Amino acid sequence: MAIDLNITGQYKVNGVPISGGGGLQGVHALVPLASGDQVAATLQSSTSGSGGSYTANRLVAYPFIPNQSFTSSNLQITVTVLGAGALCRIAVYTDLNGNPDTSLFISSNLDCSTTGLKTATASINFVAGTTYWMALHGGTTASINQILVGQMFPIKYLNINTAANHLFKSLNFSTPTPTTFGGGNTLQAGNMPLIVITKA
Amino acid sequence: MPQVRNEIYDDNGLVRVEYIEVEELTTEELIAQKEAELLAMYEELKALKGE
Repeated sequence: MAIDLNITGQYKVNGVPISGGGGLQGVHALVPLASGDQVAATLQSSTSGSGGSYTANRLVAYPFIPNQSFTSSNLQITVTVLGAGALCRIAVYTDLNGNPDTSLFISSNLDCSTTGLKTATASINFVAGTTYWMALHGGTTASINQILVGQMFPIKYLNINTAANHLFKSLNFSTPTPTTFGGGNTLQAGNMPLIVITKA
Repeated sequence: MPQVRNEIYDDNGLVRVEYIEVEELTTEELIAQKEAELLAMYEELKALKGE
């Protein structure tokens, strides 16, 4: 004889209601943020922000999985060494089965022929525990602050010795940064453009 | 006090340029920064070589 047992109501411990769940939802943006605070897809802070050149005519992307929900006011990169005539665009994509999918934001052309901060106004609703892909589409190359490969988590293993932390596709900069990232991407390990997110 | 150039963009392109005053780096901080840049270049070289 089967017994179908349904339990309803609220569990309490010492009179205090309890619920399931809890714990970490994401691996980035762990500490509560105030307006103006900035976060990125870094997992540890040592030697953060070292300069390195991005590859021309390449669209690179790496995951950002916030542990809290927040809305951004802007995204920033820092050009450390200018490139004559250099331009890039930064973007944020949703995730579909472990690949970047639909763009939530694509910046206008950022001028990397001068050094300093490049701030792209961007109001994006980041939801805790959701995977986003931070992307940079490079034109003529320049050096910008980077996240070191050792400061990021692995996506998938390329072989027994190397874990990829990002993916990319070759894409001429004269081609608009796509609204749908698409397939045919290459997984790779390497330093990534540091895209800093500012909370509104 | 040194300044950092900050270019503000919207969907249509460059909107304005601001200059932000920043603390001057100490010699120790400058050395740490340069060491970090060297390390980054070394990591980049290793990645390019597939090591």
